[in-house]
Amino acid sequence: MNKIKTVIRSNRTIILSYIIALLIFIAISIVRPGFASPSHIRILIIDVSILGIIALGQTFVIITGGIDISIPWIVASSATFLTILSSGENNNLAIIIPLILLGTTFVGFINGVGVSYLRIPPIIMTLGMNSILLGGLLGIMGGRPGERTPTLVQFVTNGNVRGIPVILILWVIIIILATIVLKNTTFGRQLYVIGNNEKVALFSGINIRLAKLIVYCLSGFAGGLGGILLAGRIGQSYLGMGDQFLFLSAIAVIVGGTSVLGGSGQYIGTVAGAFILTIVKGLLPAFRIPASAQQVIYGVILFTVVVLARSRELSKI
Amino acid sequence: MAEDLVMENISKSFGEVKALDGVDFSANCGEIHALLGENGAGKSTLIKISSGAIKKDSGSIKLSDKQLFLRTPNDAINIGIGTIYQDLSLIPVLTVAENIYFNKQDSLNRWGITFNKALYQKTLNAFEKFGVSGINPSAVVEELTLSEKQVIEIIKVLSRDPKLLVLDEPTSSLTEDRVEWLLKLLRQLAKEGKIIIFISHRMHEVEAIADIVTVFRNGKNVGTRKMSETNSDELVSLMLGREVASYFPKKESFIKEEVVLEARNLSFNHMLQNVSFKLHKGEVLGVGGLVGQGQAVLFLFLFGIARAVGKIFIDGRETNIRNPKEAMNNGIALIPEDRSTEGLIFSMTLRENITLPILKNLKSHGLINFGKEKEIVSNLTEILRIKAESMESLVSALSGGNQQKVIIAKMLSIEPKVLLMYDSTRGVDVGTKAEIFKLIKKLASEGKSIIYYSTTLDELVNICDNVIVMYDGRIIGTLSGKNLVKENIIKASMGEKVSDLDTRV
Amino acid sequence: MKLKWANLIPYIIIAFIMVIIGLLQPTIVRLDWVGIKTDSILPLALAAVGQTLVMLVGGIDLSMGGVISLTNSLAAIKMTDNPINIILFTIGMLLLGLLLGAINGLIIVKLKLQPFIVTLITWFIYGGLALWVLPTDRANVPQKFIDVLLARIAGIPVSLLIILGIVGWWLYLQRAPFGKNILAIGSNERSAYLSGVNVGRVKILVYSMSGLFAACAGVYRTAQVASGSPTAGNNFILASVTAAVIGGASLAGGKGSIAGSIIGAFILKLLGDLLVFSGISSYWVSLFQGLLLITIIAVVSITELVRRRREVGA
Repeated sequence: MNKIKTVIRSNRTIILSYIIALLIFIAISIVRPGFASPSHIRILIIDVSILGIIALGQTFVIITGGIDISIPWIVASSATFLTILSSGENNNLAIIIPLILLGTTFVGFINGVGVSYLRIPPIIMTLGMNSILLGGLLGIMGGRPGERTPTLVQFVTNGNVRGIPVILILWVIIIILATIVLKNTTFGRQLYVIGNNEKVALFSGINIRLAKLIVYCLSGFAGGLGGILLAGRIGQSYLGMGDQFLFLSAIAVIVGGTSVLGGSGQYIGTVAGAFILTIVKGLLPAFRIPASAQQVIYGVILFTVVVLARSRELSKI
Repeated sequence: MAEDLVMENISKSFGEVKALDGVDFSANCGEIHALLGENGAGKSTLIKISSGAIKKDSGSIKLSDKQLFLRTPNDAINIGIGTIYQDLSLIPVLTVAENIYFNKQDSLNRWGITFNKALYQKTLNAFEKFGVSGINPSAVVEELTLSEKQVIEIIKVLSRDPKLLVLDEPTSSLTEDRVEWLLKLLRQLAKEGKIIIFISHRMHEVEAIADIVTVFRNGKNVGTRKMSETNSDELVSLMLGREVASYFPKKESFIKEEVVLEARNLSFNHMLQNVSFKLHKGEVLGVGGLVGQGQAVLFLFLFGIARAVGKIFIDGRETNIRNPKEAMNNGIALIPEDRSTEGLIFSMTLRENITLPILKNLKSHGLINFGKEKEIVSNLTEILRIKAESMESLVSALSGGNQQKVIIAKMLSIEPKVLLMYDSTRGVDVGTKAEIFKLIKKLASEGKSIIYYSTTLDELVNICDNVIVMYDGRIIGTLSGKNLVKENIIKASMGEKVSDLDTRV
Repeated sequence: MKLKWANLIPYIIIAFIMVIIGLLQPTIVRLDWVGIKTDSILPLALAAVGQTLVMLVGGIDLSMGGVISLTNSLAAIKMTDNPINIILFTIGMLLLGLLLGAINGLIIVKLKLQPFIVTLITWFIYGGLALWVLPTDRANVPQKFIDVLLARIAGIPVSLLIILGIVGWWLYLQRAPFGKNILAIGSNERSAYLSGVNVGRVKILVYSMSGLFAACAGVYRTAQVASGSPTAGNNFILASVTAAVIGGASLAGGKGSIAGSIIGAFILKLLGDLLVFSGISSYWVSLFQGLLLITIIAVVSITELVRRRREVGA
């Protein structure tokens, strides 16, 4: 009994997030009955999974006290290269997809080198990288529109296997792996220490630079994977498709209970955050709120969460 | 006796820790009043309250019979309280002149700004008035030496003609000639009717210049004496609070012949100069000397954090230690100076903190074996008698002494050959200190070697087999056997060569 | 503050670039060329000034992207031809910028949150407001407004006068208590506090000023391109930080120069022009900007690392 109590106490914020997500869902379903229909839930699950996967990297990066601002254009690059290299056909996907993932992981690697080894502040490094990718992609595309997504990828994102969305299976596996890494591995624990106090990490013999490098590589990988899946969802690629994910990933992570300063948080929390965000997104057309106000609403939500969390932290001191 | 500064019933807590407990303190004009006490006794906290840097929890402060409400440093400065901080309060990117007249309203011309030439001249005038030479007013502060910076800090405060002058360890960064200058200056200022309070760890300075001495211990004022009516022994016993002897376990030597660690010609810039020594198995080697003579660099170097030129031999093998991990792989563990910023993650549990260095040993199939982890932690907490609700308690909830034990446990988890302890009894209660001393003896008896740095002379004398005293980055003397007495350590710390009687083979 | 050779770097660089331009396009460098350049530079220069102020206290202002977008969008559609309306509206926009910046400052100071996360969120919110106000690029800018801001007074562009005015203000600020307080906070906040600086108040003021300058940039841009765009401000963030860094600003605070940042803005623009001149399409501009910023910071960071290892050993 006691053990269950401690588990609940230490994961208070995350559980709260799930409850909020559930409440919002129920509230909307009552007001707009179509919301809870099976087809709509399927769409929600796909959107949540994509966001969740993209936010995987951001979670790890924020835990170590950094941030990855290059996610928007990693996602866009990944999706664009998928459609261009494949020209919409399924033939060479076995080569193209690993190549793209390798590429985005490499981008993350460069971010990691800049942050860990060159001691460039994460915000500058990833901001700069975002710009580089933006310019690079614009230059390469030269104004051309994006192309179609191969049907195989579309299936992975949108299709079912025995009634369960393929993407959900993929995401659940990722959730399990990520949670095990964070809670049960040496690497995971080291990340929390690094995010909390790098000096202590140094004095404890932790290889801070390598850990940070790995974390940014992971973020690049997750962004690349998310971009591919996103291309599957939309059916094609276009240049600005990654833009919303910077803030969405950050909001999901923070609403999910991870501290903005690093050193705490769980991927399970980000999952809850992703749910809340996606459900709220569904709110807007349901209540005829214009899409342009969406950004303001998300911003205010994030603002409120950060301010509340920080006020709580401060009152404890 | 007109009482000019009266502080009554001052209390201040930081979380669980009570830094000041109902302290009464007063100082009169025309007097030089010294504040003594071990580290953590509350002196600095009192000073920060009187300077407006932090707020007291309770109590009152009166200056010349006027009740003071100090909410910011500016309030104190405007009332005439000038504080010279140990860590200085200078702005590195501004010049000497700009620092001295920083934020001084009357140094502005009619357009609200200051011109460098005018400031330069004003500074020269101030230098003349206070007898300072050899510093260029246009020099940027970050390029000055520590001693010069200290002088500027002093002039900065004096230029406002304060009624009350508070100095926190003012001489620790000064070169000898400037120490002379300062003491002379203080005597002069006292004659002019100022109230002067100063904190020092240097007994001979206190004896030379103070009229009145107050001793703090564990956040309380334990006694005020006229300097002429007391002596250093009485003051020291007031500071320590109990018979010195019962603190320490009986001295026993466990030194073996085997040399576990040898350092040869370690040098780095001016901070370490040709340091060489041998550490034997089972030896407790003390490191003494005033703060900042290279001891910290030495410790950090041995642990792979600082760089230096020179050789290290471990068990006879020349070894290169490039980072803490390699140090620990070679059996060297460091208990760092600052618990809260270097030793512990406060928001993590006991268990998580203790196993940080040995995580890779806890792996089975790539994952952390929680059972093994708990076993090791419970073992260590028992050996060290760490008092906590459970190993899942957050470290932030423990007392300072227990927190220190957690760090020790963390370092013992790697089963080190050599334990480096840097000022490990700072801010630790008396009971825990005694336990730490017993532990050191036990570790030595088990064949481990310890390098122990402390500024508390009694500890060096009573726990260590040998003590190397560092001065200006050099080992100026090695004391052992009959030579290992407080007077010799002090003399060596001040730069005097004490005859080395190396009684070891 | 002493004049160190390092402070002269931006001036050396721009002299170098001018020489190159002079060689490549000898006919182009005339007084009205200067005028065209200062007109197009002014928004970035203003943004760089605001960013520099914030960087001097050790912070960063990402939200200026949103402020610029918002003020640009509002100015583009809400101004009428009436001169009084134009003046009032402009003042209103500047006050808005001041307010938005003050919000940043208040949150950062009172809640002790990191500047980048606070301004990241406000960037999002302010940008969202811009999108709400003006979902797509549009223009409805009164001609009189454009004429005034792009005018030439006795042959000298208004924009150049503004720049000179700011430089003059900077010379004054460096010698005034407020300016020294800013430098103090950036170089050693603890010392500044103990020396009597009201750190919180200064920081809030600095962030407010950054918002003000961002609003100026947004309003001027309305005149300069005669239109509004809800995402106009986003490019300014990276560019303003780069310009400030070229001008000698340090991300850690305490070092920097407004005059240097303005030169930095010029350098960025001229470099961009050179690239276009040598045949590289403007699509690639962002790539070069990002690369430039990372390279400069990397070089600064490495030299700092090397210096620290040599002096302190750790």
